[in-house]
Amino acid sequence: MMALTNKIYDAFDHIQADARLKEGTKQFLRERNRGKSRQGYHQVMKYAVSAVCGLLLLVMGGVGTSWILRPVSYVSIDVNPSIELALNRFDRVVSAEAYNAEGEEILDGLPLKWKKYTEAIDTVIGSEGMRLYLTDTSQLVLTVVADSANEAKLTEGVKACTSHVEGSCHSTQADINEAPQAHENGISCGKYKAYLELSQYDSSITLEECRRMSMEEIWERLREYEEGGEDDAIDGTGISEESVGDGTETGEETDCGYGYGNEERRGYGYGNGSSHHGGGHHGGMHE
Amino acid sequence: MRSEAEINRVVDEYADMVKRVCFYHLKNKTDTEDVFQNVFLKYMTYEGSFADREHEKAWLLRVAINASKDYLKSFFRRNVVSFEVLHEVEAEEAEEHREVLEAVLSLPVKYKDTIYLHYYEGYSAAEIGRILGKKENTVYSLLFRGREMLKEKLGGDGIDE
Repeated sequence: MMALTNKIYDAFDHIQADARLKEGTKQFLRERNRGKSRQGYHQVMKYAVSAVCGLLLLVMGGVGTSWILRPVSYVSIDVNPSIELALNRFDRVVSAEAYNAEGEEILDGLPLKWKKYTEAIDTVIGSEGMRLYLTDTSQLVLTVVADSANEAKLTEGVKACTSHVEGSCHSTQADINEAPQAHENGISCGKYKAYLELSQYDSSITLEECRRMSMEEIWERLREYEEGGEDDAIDGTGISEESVGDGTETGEETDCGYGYGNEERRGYGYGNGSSHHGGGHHGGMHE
Repeated sequence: MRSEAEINRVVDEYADMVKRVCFYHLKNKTDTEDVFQNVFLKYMTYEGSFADREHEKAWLLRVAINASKDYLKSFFRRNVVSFEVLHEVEAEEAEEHREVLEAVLSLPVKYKDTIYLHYYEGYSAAEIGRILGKKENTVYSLLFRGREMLKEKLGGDGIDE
């Protein structure tokens, strides 16, 4: 007679894992193990690819951002306040710089960034602060500083912006290659160009002086020199050569407003024949 | 991750035990083999370590029991119940073994576990209690009740303690 214990044992003992099940399981585990390894490899590759993509995006983002943010042209707005808008390749304002305290006051709180340059110019010229400086005698000079491809287009836009400005308004162009020098000297491109012109007549004039002078003052002095030079030329004093030589830029500056003076400046005024200061190189207009 | 050699050793050493546990729960070959493989898969991916072989064996028993119970509770299993109970047992198996096995397999799970662990694996009530997470006295009761039920099922004929 068999004990229950033995019967139960024997009954269970007959259940066995055959070789097929064992080998199949080992194979299954081997594959899973390799799958894990492969999964590990894929995981690493996935992270690597993600990292590369991320880096690429960062680089592209960086390049793109720098491409969009980099100024390629400038528009200086000089009256007495001296302001300069830096424009990106889409003619949008990427920064607005004030080169004197008056300019800072005007720019303070003006939303100019990312505005189309024409809108930005309108905003600056139409601002409460700027209106105080736009008098009958003031000179509003907008200087387009761009490469040859953009110069005409920007000048066109600037003229359109200032066509309604009452008072004396001029648009002019400056060499984009001079922009770094102007900025290094802490002066707007427009004023720097005026300084270069003035220094042709008066070698003693300094940037510091020009920085402090309003455009009205600078232009007044230039006008005096030019008119004086013309008189001299007429008088055969020989000074005219320098003055007229400077006239190679004749036609660069155009009157974009309704005010006075421009017709007397550089290419417009010659032949009027009136000399205020008798051709002196140091006219003493600037106190 | 355990080495292939270690995994092969454990499969060779515990394959029968794991199959028995799975089988007396699931009662059919297909489900048994599914759970069987999963038990060793759990072993392969188990990060912990074992104090000794006894610890390792007890761990595998617990995992096999839990995996089988989980499988039985699964939605799929509940809805696609196999009725090929016992037909997996080899045909040439002795009639007596078949009858005893059938009687054991017909017991409620809690009895089957204690019967198997005690009568086949030779664990004491205290050890079974630790593996199953039950009190020792509970295990004694289950063993007693299980044995009584088996005697009843087997007709008492020729049953000797």
